[in-house]
Amino acid sequence: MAERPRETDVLVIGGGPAGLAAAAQAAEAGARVVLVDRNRRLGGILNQCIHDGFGLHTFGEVLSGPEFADHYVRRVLEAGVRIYTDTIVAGMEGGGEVVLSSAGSRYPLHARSTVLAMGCRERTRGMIRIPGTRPAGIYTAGTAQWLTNMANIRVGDRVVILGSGDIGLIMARRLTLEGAEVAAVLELLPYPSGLPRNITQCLDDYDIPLYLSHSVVEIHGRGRLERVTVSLFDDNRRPIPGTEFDIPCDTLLLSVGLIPENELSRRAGVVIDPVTFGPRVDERYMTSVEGVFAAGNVLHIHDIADWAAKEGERAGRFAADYALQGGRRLSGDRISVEVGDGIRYVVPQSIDRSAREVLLSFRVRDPAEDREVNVVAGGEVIMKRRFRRVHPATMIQLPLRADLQGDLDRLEVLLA
Amino acid sequence: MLSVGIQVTGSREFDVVVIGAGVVGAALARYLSRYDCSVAVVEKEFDVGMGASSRNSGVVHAGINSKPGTLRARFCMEGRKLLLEWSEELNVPYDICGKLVVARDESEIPGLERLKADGEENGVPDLRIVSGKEAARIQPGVRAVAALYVPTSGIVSPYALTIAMAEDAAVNGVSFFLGNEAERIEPEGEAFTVHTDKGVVRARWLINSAGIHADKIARMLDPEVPRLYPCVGEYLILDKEAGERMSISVYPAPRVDNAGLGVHITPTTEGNVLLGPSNEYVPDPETTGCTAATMNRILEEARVMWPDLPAHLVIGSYAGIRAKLTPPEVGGFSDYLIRRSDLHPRAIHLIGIESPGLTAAPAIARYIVDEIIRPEEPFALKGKGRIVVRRWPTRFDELPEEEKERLVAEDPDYGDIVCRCEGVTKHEVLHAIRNPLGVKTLSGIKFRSRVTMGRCGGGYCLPRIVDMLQREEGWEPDSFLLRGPSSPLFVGKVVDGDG
Repeated sequence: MAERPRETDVLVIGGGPAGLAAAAQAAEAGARVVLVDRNRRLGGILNQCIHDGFGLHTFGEVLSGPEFADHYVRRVLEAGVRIYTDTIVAGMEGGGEVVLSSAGSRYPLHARSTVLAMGCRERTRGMIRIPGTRPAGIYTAGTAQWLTNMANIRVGDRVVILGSGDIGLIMARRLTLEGAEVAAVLELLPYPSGLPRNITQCLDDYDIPLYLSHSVVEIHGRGRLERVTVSLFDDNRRPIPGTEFDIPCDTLLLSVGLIPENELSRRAGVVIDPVTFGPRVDERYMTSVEGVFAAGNVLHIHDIADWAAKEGERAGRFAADYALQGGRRLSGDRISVEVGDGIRYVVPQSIDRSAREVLLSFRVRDPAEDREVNVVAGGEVIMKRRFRRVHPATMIQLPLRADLQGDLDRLEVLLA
Repeated sequence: MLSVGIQVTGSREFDVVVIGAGVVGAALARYLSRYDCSVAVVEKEFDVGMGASSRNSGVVHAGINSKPGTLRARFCMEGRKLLLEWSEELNVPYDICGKLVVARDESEIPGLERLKADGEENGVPDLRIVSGKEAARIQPGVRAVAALYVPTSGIVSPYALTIAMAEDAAVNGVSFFLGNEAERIEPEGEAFTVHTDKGVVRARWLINSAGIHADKIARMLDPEVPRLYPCVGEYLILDKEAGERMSISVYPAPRVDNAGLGVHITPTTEGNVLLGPSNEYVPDPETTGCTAATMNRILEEARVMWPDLPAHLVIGSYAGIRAKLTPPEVGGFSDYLIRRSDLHPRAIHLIGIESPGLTAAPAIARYIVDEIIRPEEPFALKGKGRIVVRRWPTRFDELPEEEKERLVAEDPDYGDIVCRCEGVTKHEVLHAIRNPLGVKTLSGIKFRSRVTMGRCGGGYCLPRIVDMLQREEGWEPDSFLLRGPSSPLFVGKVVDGDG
C-alpha cells in the first residue's frame, strides 16, 4: 500500500450524506481533506436505500439512495478528497489525533479540524425491553434492509413491524414486493412517526394494516419466532389489560428510533446533549472540543438525507475555515439557545454573538395545527413563523436573521 | 449446513461419559482430560454452557453465602482457588473486584453480622462491616446504612470459562457430542449405554451433570430421586458507559423470605454492569424469557442501592434457570446432592448445583475424579508432554496500541474491525468460528468473540459477519443458525442465484 499521509487539514469521519457533503465542501474551500469510511463503498446507509424519494429538495429530481450518493461521490472525487474506505477510526483523543485501522494497516493521523459524521444506529429489542423468549427472527429494520438489498437474504415470510419509523415503513413495502406477508405495522404512539408520504406509499397502497397505540407485549417461540402478543396502549403508554391479541409471524422488525453514534465523540471528550444524544454545538457546528465539528445524524436525527447533506456542507465549510485560518475564534461570547414550550430540542445549543448567519434546526414535542414558532430574546419576540401543521416527525429549520449585538445572553425557541 | 461437535469416526466406547456440558460438565471434561482415560461429553444443546452456566451473575464467590459445613461451602472455598488458577492457565478474564453487601435500613444490619460470622467460619479473610459513608467511599454512588465489605469476592466471564474449559478438554482428547439429547440410559454389565436422539455412546462411568435436567437423567437409572424445581432469574445488562461508574459487586443484605441472594449489581469482566437476578419458580425448565413486571422490579430494587442507576443504559436482558431442590413453599437453599446410584454405583449424579455452582465447579470436578472414580480406577496422569493448554484469546481491543500495531502488521485481519461496539477484529471472528468443538452457530461465535454483544445488538456487525462468511467461507443463507437447527436466522434468498 502506498504510504498514506499522517497529517491533513480536515478529517471527515463517515462517508454517508453528511460526511460526503462535508468533505466535498471542505475540499472545494481549499482544504486538504481525508474522508474515512468503514464500508467498502462510500454512501453510508444510502447504498441500501434502493427506493426513491431522495434528492427532491437538493437536485429537483427523484433519486434512489445510491443515485443521490453518486452526486456527492462525484463531488468528493473532483475536489481531490483522499478517500479511505474499509477503514475505521479506532481511536480518537482530544481534537485531531486519531488512529485509523483497516486490513493490514493501523496508524495515527493528525487533523487540524475534524467533522464527525458517523451517523446513527437503531434502537434494539434490548433497549426497549420487549418481554418474552429469544428466538431467531428479530431484526432492526435497517439491518433487515441491508440483508435484503445488499446480501440477497430473505429474512422471513410473515412479518410484523414494530414502530412506524420511515425505515420500517419502507421495509413493509419492500418485503411485500418480495413476496413476504407483512401482517401488521404497530405504533405505540397515537400517531405515526414516519413521514406522511411513506404512510401512503408504503402501507396504504399495499393494504398493510397500521395499528396506532399498539405495541408488542410478549415474544413467543423457542428456535424461530412463532408469534407476538400485541396490546392496545393508553395515553400514558401503558398496556390496557384485556386488549391483547396474538399475531402469528416468523419475523419481527424493529423501527423504534435511531440513536446518534457518539462513542468516538465521547472518547474525544465531546459533550453530548441529553435530548438529542448528539454533540452540543455552536452555530458553526463546532462541538465542545476545539476544531471538532459534527453534522448529520450523529448530531441529531434527520428526516431526510437532503437535510443531512446540507448540514454536512455547512459544517464542512466551517471545518475548512477553522483548519485554514489556524483556529481563528469568533468573539467567544456565547448566547445560549434554549428550548421553550412545545419544543423538544434546538440545534445549535449556543451561538456566538458575532455570528452573521445562524440556522436553527428543531423539533416540536407533539403534533399540532395552526401554531406559531417564536424566537424570544430579552423578553421580546425577535422572529416568528406561522405553521399550518407541526409534527414531531418533521424537523423544522429557520434561518435566524436577527441582530445579536447588545446584552442578551439567551434565546428561546417556543411554540406559541 | 451446520456441522456440530467433533466428528467421531472411531469408537463410541469410553471410560467415562459426562451428561451435560455446563460449567460443571466442562470442568469435569477438563479435569479428566489430564488423565489417561477416554471421555465423552453428551450435550443436548449445540454448544457448551448454553443453560445456567452462561446465564448467571458471573460472580467468583468469596464464601459468605454458604452455610458452614455444607458441600456448598466446601466446594465454594476449594473451587474459588481452583477457578482462579484455571482462569490464569486458560487466560480467562477474571477480577477480584470485591463486594459490598448493603443494609438498606437498620433492621438489615444483623443480617450482615450473620453473613460475616458464616463467612469467617468458612475461612473467608478480611471481612469488615463498614458504615454507609465508608461503603460510598469504597464504591461511589452506593447508598447504604452499613455494609459488609468482602474484598476477596470477584467476577469471571462465566461463558468464557465454560467454553475455555471445554475447548481445552477437546484439544486434549475429550469427545464432545453436541446436539445429542440423552433419551435413555441402559446399564449393561460393566457399562452404560447412553441413547441419544442421534446415536449411542457407551462408557463404564457415567457422570450426570445435566443441570436443571439432572433429576430427569438420574431417574433413567434410579427411580427414587428428588425432583428439581426450575427457578428463573432475570437480568438486565447495562452499557459499558455504566461500567465506568460501577466497579464492585453490590448485594442487598439477605432477607428471610428470600430464596435467592436478592437483586444485585455486578460489573462484568468486559466492563458492562448486570442487574438481577429475580427469583421466581416457574413450571418450564427451559424458560429463557424476561417479563415486563420483573424487568421493572429489578430496576426498582437495584435503584434502592444505586440511586443514580442509569436506567437509560439498559442494552439487553437474559434469564437463567436455577436447579433448586427446595420447593417453592420452602424456598431458600438446599445443599448439593452428589450421589452415586444405588443400583449402579459407577453412575454419579450431581443434583441441585445452584449458586455458587460456577465457583464450585472445578472443585466438584476434582472431588468426583479424585475421591470417587480414581480410588476405584486409578487412571494415570498424562505426562506434561502430552498436554496442550488451549488459552482463551486476549481481546484485541484491550491490548496496548503498540501491540495492536504489531499484530496488524503480522496478520492483516487484526486491522479489520468487524464489531465496532466491542472492537472485535476479523481475526478474532475467524478464530471463534474455527473452534475445536466445531460449533458454527451465531451464538457460538458471539460467546467466543463478543460480536453482537455490544450496545447495537448486532445492528452493525451482523451484516459484516454475514458478508464475510458468505464471501470467504461460502456460507448460504440457510447456514446461519442462532443456536442450532431449530433457530435459522434466515429463510432463503430474495432472488435465486447469486443475486
